[in-house]
Amino acid sequence: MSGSVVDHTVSSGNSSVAIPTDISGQILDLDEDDDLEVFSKDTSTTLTDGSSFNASMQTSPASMINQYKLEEEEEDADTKDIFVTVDNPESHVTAIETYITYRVETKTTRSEFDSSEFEVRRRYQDFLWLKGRLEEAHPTLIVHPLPEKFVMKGMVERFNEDFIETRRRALHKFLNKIAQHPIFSSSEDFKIFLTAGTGELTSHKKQGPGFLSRMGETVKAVAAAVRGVRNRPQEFTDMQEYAEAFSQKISSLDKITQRIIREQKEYLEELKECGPTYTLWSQSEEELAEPLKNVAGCEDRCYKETEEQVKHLNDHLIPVLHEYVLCADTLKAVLRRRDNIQADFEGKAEALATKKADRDAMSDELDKAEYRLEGANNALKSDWIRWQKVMRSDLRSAFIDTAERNVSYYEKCLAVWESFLQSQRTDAEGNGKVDSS
Amino acid sequence: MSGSVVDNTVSPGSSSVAIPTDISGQILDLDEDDDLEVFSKDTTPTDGSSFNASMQTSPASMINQYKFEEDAEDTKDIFVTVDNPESHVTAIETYITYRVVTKTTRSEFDSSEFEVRRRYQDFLWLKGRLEEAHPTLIVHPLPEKFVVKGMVERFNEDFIETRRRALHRFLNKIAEHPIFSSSEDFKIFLTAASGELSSHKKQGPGFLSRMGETVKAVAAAVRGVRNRPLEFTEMQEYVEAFSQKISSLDKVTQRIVREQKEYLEEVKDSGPAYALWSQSEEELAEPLKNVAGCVDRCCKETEEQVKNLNDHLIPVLHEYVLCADTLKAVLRRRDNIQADFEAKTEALATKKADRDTESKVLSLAWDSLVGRSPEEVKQQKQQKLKGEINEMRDDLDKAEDRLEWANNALKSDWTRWQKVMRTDLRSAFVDTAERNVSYYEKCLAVWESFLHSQRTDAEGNGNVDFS
Repeated sequence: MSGSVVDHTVSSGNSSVAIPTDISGQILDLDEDDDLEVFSKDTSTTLTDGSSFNASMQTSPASMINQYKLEEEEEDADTKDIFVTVDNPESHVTAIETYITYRVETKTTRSEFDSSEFEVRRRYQDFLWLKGRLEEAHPTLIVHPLPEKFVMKGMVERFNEDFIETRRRALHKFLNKIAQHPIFSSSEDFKIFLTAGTGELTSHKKQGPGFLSRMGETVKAVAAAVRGVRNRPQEFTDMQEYAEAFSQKISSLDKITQRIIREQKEYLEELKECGPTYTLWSQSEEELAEPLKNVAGCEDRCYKETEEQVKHLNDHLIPVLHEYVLCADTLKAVLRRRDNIQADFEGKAEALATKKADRDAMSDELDKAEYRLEGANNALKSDWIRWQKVMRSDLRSAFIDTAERNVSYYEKCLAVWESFLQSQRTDAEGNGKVDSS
Repeated sequence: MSGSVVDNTVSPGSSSVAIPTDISGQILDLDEDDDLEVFSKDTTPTDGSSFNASMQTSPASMINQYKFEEDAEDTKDIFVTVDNPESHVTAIETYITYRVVTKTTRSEFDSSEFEVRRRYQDFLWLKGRLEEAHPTLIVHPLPEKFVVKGMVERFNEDFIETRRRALHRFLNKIAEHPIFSSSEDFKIFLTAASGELSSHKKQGPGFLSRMGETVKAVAAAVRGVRNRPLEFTEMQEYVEAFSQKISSLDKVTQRIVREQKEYLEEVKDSGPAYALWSQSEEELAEPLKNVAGCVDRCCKETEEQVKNLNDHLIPVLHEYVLCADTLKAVLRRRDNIQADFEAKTEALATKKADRDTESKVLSLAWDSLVGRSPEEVKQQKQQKLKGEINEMRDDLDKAEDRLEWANNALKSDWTRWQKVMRTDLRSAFVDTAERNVSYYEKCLAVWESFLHSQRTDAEGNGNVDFS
């Protein structure tokens, strides 16, 4: 099989095998309208369920295990040698469509990069493509989710500022998660994503596995899924249970937090009226005018602080929770893919046992399937540990961030009312009468 | 006129005149079912131009009576509390009574301490009596009979407590009023046993006489006022504005409370969600449980805060909404008294004109038929007119006195009321601010302790886990 794309794994002594490509087929770009469709989840047609795999991963399981000893590499923020930022959203208008692009800036000291700084512009489609490629290449590694195509609730307009900003932050997080991943960050597709000019990227995209070959893989995957797995190792069943529980809990928390925000917004609608009402009243009073204006000022300030607080919750905590809701789905998909690989192996083992003809060919295939399975299992095991660590760190950060925000909010509101009390005491003393009973 | 109730005003040199009573009539007790009916406002006759004749003292001494600005807190010699609500069940009805405790050094009280039990009806009666006796003084409003919105049950704890507080404030406002606090009805309210109070109640002006006064009032209202002094027009304008503003604030604050309650419903789920999640985690369990604890505590504090707003600020705002209505009623009554005076002035002038005309016209025809001399007839007619005019002049004098007195009373009480209003509202704002401060301090502490625990954890675990 000849291939034009090679995925170089950063490990010595591995043989590289090119991805089988069907260059005759035209890639049916199903991702074309991704920005325009309304979906609640990422439904990119990259195969998340398929048992497609990158043949270039056919290295010995032993070296695979070595590759994935990541725990020791995690702590060192000082060995971070690549920095990626996503910013500066801009609208692009063509004859056919309007879409947003984001500036992607890379600063790196890595030798495999031709330069130390890169700046490119990418659209959502491109991110989707990258994610799909990584998933294809590493079916049992956990790829961080992308922000959803569209937010169904509230029918947020695609070009709404808040939506774009929320998306931008999520895309930034996505790329950084990729950059921090020991395997993904050395992906050729990732490198091209970060460095290639727009035209270059387009032609590179076209060289991926053809639609027909992808379809073939999907068919295989469905068949495998139907077969099911016989002897799933306990640890993967444990993972499954954890993923289920995690999915429920985080979804529940995501929903509750969104409801809380909704209620707070309705509360703010009423609170808005408060200050102005006191101000209006102060206009028909004389001696009471001062305290009334004071109260009005306090209510207005508290309103602003609360608005700020709700916005922060919405823009910082909710996206993190929501990302991990999507992560939960990713985990489930990864476990399904692993199962499919095992089912494929088991199927082949069975076939070998029952059929007598073509034993040699089947034996070869079985060996390959066995390798694939062992590689997949090890990859998943290691990545699972890595993912959990990152997840804990992320969520802890989010909680601390929220707590710090809360502290700041309460401090400000406290100050508002303390200043009011101070002013009332001063007033009373100033007037000479202790009027506040 | 014989009367059995005398209102003694605390002022030297004023004559006491008893209230005209119609002791033959049975008082139709319209207030019987007050606790049971669903009304949104107090409907004792506030529009009647009924007045207490015992207030017929010279306007000058009246003015002196009403100089209360100099009154200071240290001369407070009467303390009233309302507490201890209890349910009373009889064959006919169930109602709540409240304990009213009075401590006083005033000489006109037989003792220095009194304890009685009173029901809402009794408070209504007292209010009505004070309004009848002093139509242009401002009586603090009573809590409403029923809260229509939300259909709060009559025997609901919160409702009873809110009502109790309002009744307590009502009595204290009466006790602090220079005129009301010396009212005989007030004294009886504070000291008489239940049976004694019942018989005293029955001795008030009868229903029929009250009806008569209401009819007069309506007639007066229809007539309208010609030359209302500017200050009362200004009061009217102020009252309109005040009424709008405070009603608006009352509504806004109630809506805020309602939204906060809905918010709390959602937040309540948050803590448990974190706690539940912590059960399927290991290393993340501790922070999650921590967050759960913090969210729960903040939820409780917020609940407390909303309750405070509901139980302390809203009742004050609401009382002053009712005050606004009282002010409007008082201004109307004053207008009626003026209208009455103006009408009587006009009637007297007309009568005098009649007399003058009469002296010129001799309707001899009929009178000669009945055999009387024109001179005789003329004499008789003149006598009759003279008598009528004298009566009308007396009436007019009384009406003038009444008007002058009503105006002075209102002017003084207006100043007093404004002062009390400002103090009350200022207190309410300061109180609310203090509660806000306390609330924010507590919530602040909750999240600071969380951050502290996370720092400790991090140091304890030895890994700087946060990216």
